[in-house]
Amino acid sequence: MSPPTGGSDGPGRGVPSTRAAFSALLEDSAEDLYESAPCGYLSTLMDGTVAKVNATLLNWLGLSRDEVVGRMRFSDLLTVGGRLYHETHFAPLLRMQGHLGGIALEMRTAQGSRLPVLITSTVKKTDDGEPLLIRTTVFDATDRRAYEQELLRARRAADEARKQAEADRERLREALAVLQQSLLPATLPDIPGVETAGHYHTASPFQLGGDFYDLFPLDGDDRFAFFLGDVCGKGPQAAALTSLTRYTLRAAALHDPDPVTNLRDLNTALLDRYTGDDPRYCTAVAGVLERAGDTLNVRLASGGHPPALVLRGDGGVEYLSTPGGMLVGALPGAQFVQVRVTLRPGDTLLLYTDGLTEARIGPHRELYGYEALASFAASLAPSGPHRVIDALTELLSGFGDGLDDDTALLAVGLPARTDTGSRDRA
Amino acid sequence: MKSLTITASHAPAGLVLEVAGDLDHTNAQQLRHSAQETALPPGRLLAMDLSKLEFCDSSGFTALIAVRNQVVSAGGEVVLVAVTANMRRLLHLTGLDQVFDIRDTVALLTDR
Repeated sequence: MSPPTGGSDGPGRGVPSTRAAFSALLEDSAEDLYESAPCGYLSTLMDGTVAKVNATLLNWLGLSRDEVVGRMRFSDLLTVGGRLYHETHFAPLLRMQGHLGGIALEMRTAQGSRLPVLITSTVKKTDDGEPLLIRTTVFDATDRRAYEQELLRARRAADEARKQAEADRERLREALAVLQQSLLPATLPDIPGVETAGHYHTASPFQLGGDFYDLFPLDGDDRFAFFLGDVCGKGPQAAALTSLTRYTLRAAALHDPDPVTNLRDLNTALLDRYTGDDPRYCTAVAGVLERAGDTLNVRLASGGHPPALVLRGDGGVEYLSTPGGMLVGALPGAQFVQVRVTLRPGDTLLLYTDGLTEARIGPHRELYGYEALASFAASLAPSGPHRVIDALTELLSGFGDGLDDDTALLAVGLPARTDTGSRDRA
Repeated sequence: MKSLTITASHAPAGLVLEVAGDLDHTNAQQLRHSAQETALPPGRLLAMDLSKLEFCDSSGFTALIAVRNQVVSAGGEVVLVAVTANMRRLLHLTGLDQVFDIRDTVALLTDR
């Protein structure tokens, strides 16, 4: 076996063949180069009459030399649109500048079809500087035009898709807003002598939140039930859980207005609906308001929910701690803890979800927390429900990016006696 | 947001899962899967080391509860180890401190 020898022969054969190609090129006549160039050439008199044209362009247009030379003007070779553009823009500019390059025009072939071209023209002048004739090169832009059209088509398709996506997004946002609203009371009931206010902060218009609250009469004007809570997770599944939670709590309270029993009923309902592999739970505060003279007795039970806050008429602030209350719906036999509080004129009870206390604030994303909330409330106290909710709504919007969770707020209070007095005098 | 890292290691009493980073709705399934893969025999302990858990949202709590339910129904036990102050606060708030066995160190497990 001998090694292949072709490698050393290769260059030896290559040099003469390159030389042959070069000499063939050198023998190429200028005339042939003009006639068979890969672009069209034509020369016209200053009035546009074609004086000379190469075979390439004649071939593209399907015309014979006799039909064109001395008989047609350059503009006769163009489409109507092209002619118009030529007369109004191309020719005047060319006369002014003496050169014009890369202009897209359309020529008309003998068969009647259009030929998109790119035109470059130069005015040849006499030694005295008088314009003599116009030399023009014509490039076939069919491929380029097709490419541009494809680009345009793709762009139009993308625009359409974007518009459609925006419309879909808007429809989705509207549907979600309607669904979200359906999980909250349209208005809070009017309770004579009692002031109420609620607020729902939506973190994202495209993500259904899982916070909820409600306040409704139990019997007549004297007893009302309320609840506020937060289901685990986000999105449609959270909304379904919220719906189940809300209607279960409402029905339970109407059946037996005992907050601990109501949370137990909810625990049973959620455990029944969601299995151990897929636990779904909520944290909730449920309670009953009962009028007693000029005070309001509140019984309130909590299941794993942040403690309610009372803003006293004397400026004091206290959390209603319910230690030991467990998440609702996560565990069989969950314990719930009840507290009682009496609201006097000027007192306000505030319920909130952890979007408020778990918000991250400042450059170091510090937990907002219970102490900050208590201080904020102390700065407001004494304050009625509307003022408290307005101030908290403002506080929440001030959190900006630090608040990435939905937040529900509900406040119930008795107007201060002095308030009423001053209003009466006014 | 930090990513979630779950590292499993064996201890005499059972298995330790170190749950580090942020446990939230984007990755809570990962914890459930890790726990399912362990297939702990009955009577053994699953310890979740939470010392490096920096954030836990409601989906994270759901995963912890789901893991507990799964292990307990298979006859095992769940222990939460080295729970950070913030996590301890949330466990207390949600009453889950009554449900989970919470211990300070993993060392206790090795003595069992």
